[in-house]
Amino acid sequence: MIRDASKVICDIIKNYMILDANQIWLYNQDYKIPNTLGLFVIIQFLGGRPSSISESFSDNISGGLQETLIVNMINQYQIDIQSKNNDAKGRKEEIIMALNSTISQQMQEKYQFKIANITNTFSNTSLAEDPSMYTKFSININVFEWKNKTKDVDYYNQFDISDIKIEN
Amino acid sequence: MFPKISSAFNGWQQSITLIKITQTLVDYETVETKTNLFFKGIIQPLGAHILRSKPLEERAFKWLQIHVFNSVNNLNLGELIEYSNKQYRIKEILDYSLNNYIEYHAVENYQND
Repeated sequence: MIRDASKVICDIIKNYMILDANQIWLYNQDYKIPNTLGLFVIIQFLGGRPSSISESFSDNISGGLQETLIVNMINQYQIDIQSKNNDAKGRKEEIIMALNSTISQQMQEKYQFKIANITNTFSNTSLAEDPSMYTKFSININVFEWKNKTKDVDYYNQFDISDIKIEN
Repeated sequence: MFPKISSAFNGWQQSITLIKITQTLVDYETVETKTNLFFKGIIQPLGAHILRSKPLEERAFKWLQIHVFNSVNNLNLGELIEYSNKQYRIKEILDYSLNNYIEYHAVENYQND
């Protein structure tokens, strides 16, 4: 995966819901929400757990040994959809539609990750702001991602253990 | 007749440089652009009696009271400024432009929204 999954999720939602560049952003950007009625979407990485790890060996370009480690992760993201009017309530389902759309499948194939089809419930996280309510809904999604890293390593007979001291 | 209040500040004003920080979203992340603002005015800590009217959770942070003279109102609520290598957020604008000055209250930028 070359592009961060959270940004690809932003791409998918932005394209499907036809949002402007200033209507969707990643969480914790110290960004002031514009003072308009418009709809805003914020993506937040919550955490994740590794589901598997695998190790493989191959030759590197100089004839030495290299090891590749691949970690598969089940990551959880929170998507907030919010507005000063009722747009967030009326359009919240479009988030799920966007994540299950054809363009979403194409992006998942392109960037080699998988957004789980089943999501959790929408939580109503609306809050009172001055004399009115700020309409806000939050949903958590699971995303299967993987990371790999390849590094040169020594063969077993090249591993130097002369500096290891054994104390009795 | 309403007194000319701005004349009370004569002799107190200084040439001040503030940095205005404009935030834009690029690839879903905030990018800051800094521009210098030159003006005649006064910058001082916000007095304790005014500070008492601010939200309780913000009182522990540094507050600035900024008087800007002969200037258009070019700072908006929520905008970021930099002064003495510290970022502050504009929290209140008192528009006394009829008397030729504008007063800003700014709090140390302690939060990440």
